[in-house]
Amino acid sequence: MWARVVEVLLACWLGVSPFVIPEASRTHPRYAVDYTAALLVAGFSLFACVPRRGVWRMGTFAVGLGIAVAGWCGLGNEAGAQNLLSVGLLLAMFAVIPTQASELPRSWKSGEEHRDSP
Amino acid sequence: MQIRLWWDDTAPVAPFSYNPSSWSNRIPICLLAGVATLISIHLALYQWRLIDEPWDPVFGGQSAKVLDSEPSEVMRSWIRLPDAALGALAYLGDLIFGLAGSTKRWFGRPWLVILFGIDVIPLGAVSVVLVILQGTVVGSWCFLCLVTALISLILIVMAVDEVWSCLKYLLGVWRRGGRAQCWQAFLGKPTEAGRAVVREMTGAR
Repeated sequence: MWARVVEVLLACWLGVSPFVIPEASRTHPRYAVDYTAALLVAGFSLFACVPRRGVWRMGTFAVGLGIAVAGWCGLGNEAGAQNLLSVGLLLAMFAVIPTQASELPRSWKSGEEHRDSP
Repeated sequence: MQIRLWWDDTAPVAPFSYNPSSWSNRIPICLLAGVATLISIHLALYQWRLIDEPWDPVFGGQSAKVLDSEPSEVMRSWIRLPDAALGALAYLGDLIFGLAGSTKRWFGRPWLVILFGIDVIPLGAVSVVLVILQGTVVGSWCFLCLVTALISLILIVMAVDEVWSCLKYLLGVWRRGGRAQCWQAFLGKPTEAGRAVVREMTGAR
């Protein structure tokens, strides 16, 4: 669950980063990428918290890779592009972590054997 | 008499006398990775020119020469990030993949352990290469870079037992159940062969 919390925090950072790292023009496409990615990541991360919907985190993984590529291609000024690249890589790393990573997978638990000898 | 459950946290995992996925084994790795992350962030702050100079009590101004060197600039032009920032991301990856997963992840989530190993082991190799470049190409030394390289090597030593146990488990499943069951085991799904190998490696009934 902690990975999803960090993803939502990173989504918040993406949402405010146009104000922290502004472009010369208010209509620069980087702003659209920042806001869209923030909304998508927050949505995917929250959906992934629903039981048996953990696979939604792969959406966050895809968005992370997407904005990392956008940053690598130099979308925006240098600081903005580096922000996209580093946040994208971070998101991709967190998105790999399953929501219930701290527990043994459910399929192993279902075969759990509680045995006491007589 | 209580029979030890086969997924007992305290069960030693062959060939070791302890569980390499236990928190007592993983927390020191995460702490070291955290220290290396902070050091790398400090070096990246210099490369971003957010601080005047990197801290170096041993080599003084040589650190700045290393961080502004041609190999560093070449890497920056390739990856579009200062190499210290990429290092910080990599060490943070060690921390994240070290924290994720239960104390049974060596068989419960082998893919996570392998990913952790991929992040730790090549990172150590890259650090060694960068240290060699410092001496041979740049001709200057950077104290904090040497510290992070040392941490990388320590991380390899500390992480290799868990990766080894995980590979031994996967190899055991392959031998008993074939490629299909090995793939299932890699994905963290229980198989007959997997259960048998876990019992064998933990010595549990």
